[in-house]
Amino acid sequence: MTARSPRRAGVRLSASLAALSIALAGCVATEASALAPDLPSPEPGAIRVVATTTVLADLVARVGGSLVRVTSLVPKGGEIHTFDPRPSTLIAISEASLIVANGLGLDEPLTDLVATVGSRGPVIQLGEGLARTALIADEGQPNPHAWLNVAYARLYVAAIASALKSALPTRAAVIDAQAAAYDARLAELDAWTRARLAAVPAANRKVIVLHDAFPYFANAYGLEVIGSVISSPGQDPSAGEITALLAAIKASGARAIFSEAQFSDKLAGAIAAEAGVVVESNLYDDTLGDAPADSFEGLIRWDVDRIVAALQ
Amino acid sequence: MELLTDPLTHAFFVRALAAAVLVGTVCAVVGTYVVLKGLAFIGEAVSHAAFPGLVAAFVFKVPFLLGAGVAAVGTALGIGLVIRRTRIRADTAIGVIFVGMFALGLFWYSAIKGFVADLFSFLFGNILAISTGDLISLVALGVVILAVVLVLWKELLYATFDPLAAAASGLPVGLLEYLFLVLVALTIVVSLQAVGIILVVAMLITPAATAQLLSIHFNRLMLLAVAIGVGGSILGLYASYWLNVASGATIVLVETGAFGLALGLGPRTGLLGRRRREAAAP
Repeated sequence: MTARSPRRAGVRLSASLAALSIALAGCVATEASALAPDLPSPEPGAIRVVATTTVLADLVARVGGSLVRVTSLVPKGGEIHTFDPRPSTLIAISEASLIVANGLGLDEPLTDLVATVGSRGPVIQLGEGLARTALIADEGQPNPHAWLNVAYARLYVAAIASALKSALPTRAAVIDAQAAAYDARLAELDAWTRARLAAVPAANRKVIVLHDAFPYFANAYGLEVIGSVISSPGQDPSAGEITALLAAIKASGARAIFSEAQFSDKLAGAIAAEAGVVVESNLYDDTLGDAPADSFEGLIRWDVDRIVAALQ
Repeated sequence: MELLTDPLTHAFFVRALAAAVLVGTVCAVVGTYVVLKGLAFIGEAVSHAAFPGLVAAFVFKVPFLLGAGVAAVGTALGIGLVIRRTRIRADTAIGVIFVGMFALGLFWYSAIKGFVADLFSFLFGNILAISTGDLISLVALGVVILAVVLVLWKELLYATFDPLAAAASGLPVGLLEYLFLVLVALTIVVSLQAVGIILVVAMLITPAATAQLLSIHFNRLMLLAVAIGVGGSILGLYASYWLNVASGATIVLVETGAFGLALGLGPRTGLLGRRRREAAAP
């Protein structure tokens, strides 16, 4: 019996596996769009652009309009540092006419991935295009979150426009017009943000952040970041670092801890309770959220509303 | 048919497929010994122990394969030494050493300042992100492992099934034991990039365990394990493409599914087999 049955079992097994594969093949997955619903849908000749984050994808979509089909590598609400690419992500990369990244260490694993997979078009790193003097560095490492200063986001938009014009030279006029219109909206957003933050009393402008994502925002709009809870995502603070942070909060009279929606706010909550300050744990920085924070403009307005409310 | 050929138009999928076949083969061959010797826990241990090696490779900017290889081989030999030289039981020695190594990795990782590469890519790996250079080193390492097994086929077999007699006949059983641990460590290293630290032990033992349900003859067992390992890797990779889900997890689930099928339908343990045996016996 033992001599024959393994072979028969093997045949049965492979038949079962074949059946399973047919069942799986029936449900081919669709790619969900992570972007805002008010964006125009891509026209038939649209070029494929891959952005590393949803924030950058939104900027590209605003400038490119119906000329581009934009995919974000990190999905909405996702975290760059815990990103695990799926097959559809890699297909998007290999078919992209342009890859838009931030650089400055934010999305290095993703640009490495792009280099491995290979794309049709060039890779632009928007943060790397900023003037060195504009960057805020910590221990020699520039902080990557430059787009949270809307003035820098406008520089991103200009760089995106020129890259799109290189990819679509015949549509340069359309791209210029769309970029100019969007830039005007961002100029207005910048002024609005400045005005909202100006209303916060000067004594209330000291804040703690969960991770160091807001130096450009703070610099541009007059907040003072006293310290951050974690030095980098995935790295929990040591007992000594928490003690030092608590001392810094007490000494500075900081008002609030700002934490981002994609991280657990447990640690920030514990520190806030200890220090007697408020936590605003629902801010967005690296990723867009659900409406109304589902576009870059929406994200800034959402964050500003919450920051101002926490500091009043 | 397009379902099968469409993914092949993407270079990354072809590389992943090559890696899947390689990993499936090497894991099944070495895994057959691992399962028969009852060393599955060592596979688990060595994979976790590779973590500080990956962190070291990141810090010192050397290839990940090198960092993982040194840490994995070192840990495997360390475990072997503690088991052979002390009165501590094997599972205790393994538990102490591998969690210690993993903690060392986490400790070191937390001490890196600045924006660091992602912890999760270390833990989960991604077979789709294998570069041509990665693939070449994986193939080279895989061929070395298979060659060693082939050359020492009789010796390994003898030392596995009857270590006392093997020792009495003059075989260096202790040396073979250490060599085998090195092979397990290198197999884990080859597979890390495909499925990552957390899932890698499944690649090593599940095909062999499934084959064990279907056959007791050693050569047939290993052939079945290779068929299941390679078939499961290919099917899992395609399924992850069709369903657009994580590849490593899908491969492991397909292999686990094969194990479940063998458990249910296999001649030795399966319900059908048992019913047939009962019908045959008056």
